[in-house]
Amino acid sequence: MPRSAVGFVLRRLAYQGVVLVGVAFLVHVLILLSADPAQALLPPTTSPEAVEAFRRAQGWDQPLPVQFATFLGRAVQGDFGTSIRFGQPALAVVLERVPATLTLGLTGLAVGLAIAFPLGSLAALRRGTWADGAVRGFAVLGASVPGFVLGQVLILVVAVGLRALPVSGGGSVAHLVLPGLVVGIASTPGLIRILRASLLEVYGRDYIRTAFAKGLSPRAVLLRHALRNAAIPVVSFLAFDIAALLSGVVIVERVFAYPGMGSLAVQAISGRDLPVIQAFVFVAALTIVTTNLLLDVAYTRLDPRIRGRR
Amino acid sequence: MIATIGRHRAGMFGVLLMVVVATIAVLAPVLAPGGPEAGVLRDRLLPPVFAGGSWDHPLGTDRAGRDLLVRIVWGSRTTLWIAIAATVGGGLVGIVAGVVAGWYGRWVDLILGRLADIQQAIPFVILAMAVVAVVGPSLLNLILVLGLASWLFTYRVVRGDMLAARERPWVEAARALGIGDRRILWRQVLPNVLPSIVVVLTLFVPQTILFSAGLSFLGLGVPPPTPEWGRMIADGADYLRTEWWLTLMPSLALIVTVLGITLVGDWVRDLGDPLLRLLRSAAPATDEMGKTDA
Repeated sequence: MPRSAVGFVLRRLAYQGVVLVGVAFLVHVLILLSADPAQALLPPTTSPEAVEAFRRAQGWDQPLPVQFATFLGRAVQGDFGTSIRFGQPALAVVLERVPATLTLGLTGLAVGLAIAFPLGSLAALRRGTWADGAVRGFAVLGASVPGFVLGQVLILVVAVGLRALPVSGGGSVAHLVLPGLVVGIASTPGLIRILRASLLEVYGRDYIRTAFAKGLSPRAVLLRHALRNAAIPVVSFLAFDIAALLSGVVIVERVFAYPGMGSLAVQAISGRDLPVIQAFVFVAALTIVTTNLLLDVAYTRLDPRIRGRR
Repeated sequence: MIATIGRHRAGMFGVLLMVVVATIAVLAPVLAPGGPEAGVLRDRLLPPVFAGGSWDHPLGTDRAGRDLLVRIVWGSRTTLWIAIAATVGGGLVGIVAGVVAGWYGRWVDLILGRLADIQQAIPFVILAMAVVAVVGPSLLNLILVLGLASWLFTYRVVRGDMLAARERPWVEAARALGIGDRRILWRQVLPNVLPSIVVVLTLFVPQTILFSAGLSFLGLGVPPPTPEWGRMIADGADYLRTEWWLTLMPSLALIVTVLGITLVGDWVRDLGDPLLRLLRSAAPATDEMGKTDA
């Protein structure tokens, strides 16, 4: 990477760091919304002295700025406190589930892109035909069917008809097929729309006419010139879409009893395991921030104007 | 041209769906006067008509012996009420924040911008889970949490519109004439951008409904016994292999509602663009709505 691009990425890195500190603050302040966490967390028979001791041990008797400084100091070291349910460090409990969630998310993204690129290209190249109409109809319908409904339908089809795939749990490739499909299909409508619009715009450009004029086949024009340029808005959209994808993963995990951090968080909520929820939110934000940085790097590779900016 | 006619027809279909759902929601007390929470435990899990049931319960009953059709009918009220309250409430906050940040700028813009970035770093469902984990699930809390999504969306759009408006030649002209800043905002700028804001908010309603159903599906939305489609879908999941209609029927209601509003939103956007251009005819250059990041 040229120096200007490095500078661009470094600036983004610094800013995303600031955002993460903000998330840590937000996650901490959230706890203050509940009336009295100590009261809520301990059994009702606990003596007032024990409640007081617990409060002091958690640092909740300190003034807010002190609490936040302590929390931030600990958060930087990866310490979000101890999980009330598991009795282990909260971050470790969450991190243990990250690979499963990440695998599902990436599978879903791959499925989504694999569906969206051919369909979006087809709709743009056959604009105004029945194929375009069908793809757009699919996009509208797909945007109206929530992942958890699609998931139930797939479970029903597989459980009654095919019986070939596991419908709940995790740990093998077969366990990834159904949830991956649901997460992927949920992300296609937006991708198709953006790609179609972006391709239509690119096909009006002079360099595409030049490419056709020098005798390239329509296939070569699409693959070598059009898609490459049309992908830039898709990357921008992904930055926004990754958060939606992760939201979807959390819900889909619940549908398929998939052992990721979404399922963990749902359990943590019913058990009022606040340290685990804090760590969960932070890890999710960390994922988003990291993805945004990776997409920034992708920009510098896709768009020569950013790469060469001085 | 073909595409335009196709869209037109799809839009009309969307209007039809929306009218049906809205009518059912309004007429729920007439259509199902017994209310959604009445059930006879002896009549639990009765099959629907198409699976050998009787017309007393056309879609059968749930595990508490409550009529499924009645619950779906009343559930439309819950869904629409939540969607409207969250979109309008969050939208108003977003409009005020966007106007202040985009028009007056400076430190307000700086602070609101950072807040928005921080919130955007947390996927919405996860943020909502954390909030509900702390404050507990209730109808009001669900509406407030969903408002968090629509304030952010509206804020980004309105701020972009305001920044663009500030640079317009006719605003500059008004300034040169010595007209006050506040008067320009109220008389010239707001009337120009409000129509597009309303359209943008309409497009966000289906998203709010899906979020709401998703959170209720996770058990973080409206607590029972209030009928809510997402919750009904989750409850039905336990009986998916045998009484699959318990899941599928509320799912259909949800899909039809979201589809209807989405189709209408798309149509209004297509129709609305020339209309907006007309309304903004004072402005020499109109930005495409799509350019403002959402």
